[in-house]
Amino acid sequence: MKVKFGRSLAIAITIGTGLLVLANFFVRNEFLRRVQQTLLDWAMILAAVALLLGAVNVVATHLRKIRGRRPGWAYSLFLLAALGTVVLLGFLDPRGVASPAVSWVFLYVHVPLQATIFALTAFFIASAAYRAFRVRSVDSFIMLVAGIIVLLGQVPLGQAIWDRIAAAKDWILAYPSTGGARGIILGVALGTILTGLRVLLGIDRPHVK
Amino acid sequence: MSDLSNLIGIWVSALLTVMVLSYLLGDNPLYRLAEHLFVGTAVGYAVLVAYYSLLRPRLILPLLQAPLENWTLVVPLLLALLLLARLNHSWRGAGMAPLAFLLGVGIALAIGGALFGSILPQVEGTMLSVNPADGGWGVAVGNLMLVIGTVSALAYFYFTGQGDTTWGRLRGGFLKAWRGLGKWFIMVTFGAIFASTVMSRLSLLIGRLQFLITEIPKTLR
Repeated sequence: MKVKFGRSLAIAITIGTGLLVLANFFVRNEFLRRVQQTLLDWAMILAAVALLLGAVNVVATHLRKIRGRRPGWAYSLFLLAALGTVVLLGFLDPRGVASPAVSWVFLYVHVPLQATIFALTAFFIASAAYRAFRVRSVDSFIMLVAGIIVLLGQVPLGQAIWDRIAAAKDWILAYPSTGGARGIILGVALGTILTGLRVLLGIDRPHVK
Repeated sequence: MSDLSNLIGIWVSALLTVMVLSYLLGDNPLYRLAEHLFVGTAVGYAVLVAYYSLLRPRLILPLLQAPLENWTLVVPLLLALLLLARLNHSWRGAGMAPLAFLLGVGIALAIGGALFGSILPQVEGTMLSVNPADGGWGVAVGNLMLVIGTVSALAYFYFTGQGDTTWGRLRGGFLKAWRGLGKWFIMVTFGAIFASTVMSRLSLLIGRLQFLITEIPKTLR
């Protein structure tokens, strides 16, 4: 009985808050605007708390790994040390994220790691390109031609092969590629609205199990 | 930052860059260490941003400085505590209310954003002139292609089956042809996206290699 009430309450909260926020998109009303702003402020606070919860979960998972001496537990030690150091440096200085120590970690540890990890994917993309661009059908041939023109249109080598390749690249990006992308965006937006309405109308209840 | 901290920073960056690039030789402890350091710093930074950009200025300080004026903030505070209760297995059910709240607000924003941020501007942007007198034949053909591409690519996501009647079969055949055309436009888009992704990743790689080649010798002078 208690569980059933909890579920009904959760569904009511979702529908109520959802309709109140959604109404402001269609109705010009000062009261509704203020209600929406308040609900958005609360949601931002809750999203921040959810992020902290995620961080606590990361710490708990790696602590369990260390305690159980599971494979790779030593790496977890470094992960927790890095996490703890950044958090400690941020809380020791009232400037927080803007403190020189945190900025140093961000600039000299986080940024190079992120950039190099993404740069590393260049090699794997190259091998993926070989598999994806093998001409097996008309579809893959079209993708190959578009990909090669856009790729070569951005480098001097392409200009050396064909002096009009940059114009061809611009044309592909401006017209057929934009057309396809627009169709995808519209399809995704329609799907988002449909899925959202199903939850707001109580047909789908992904958060209540 | 002082010269010494810059110097140490450049060497730390270089060491981490080499550790990540060592993955090209295969999975190894140096890469794994760098990977875990990356996750650690990313999570730590996210915690600080969440606290200093949202929780402190929007919840903690208003409640501490003027609790009576900001009494409504008790609601998100309670919801936050219920969310934190999810850490305890026996209290997991209590976390349903804040999740329901977040879902409701998130879905409403997604619907509003999809309608007013995607559908209407994209439809407006597709209403283009196909008259050569407006911008020449090149633009007219391009615009026509863009309109056909948009409509046919959208038709690719139309999954409703055809009926058994003559009209239904005719309609089904027409949609199938549109879907085929739409698939080709989507392939052009994928090819262009793929090429742009390759270029951006290569630029990053060149940037990292340039850093190793130019910055490290500078510190040795």
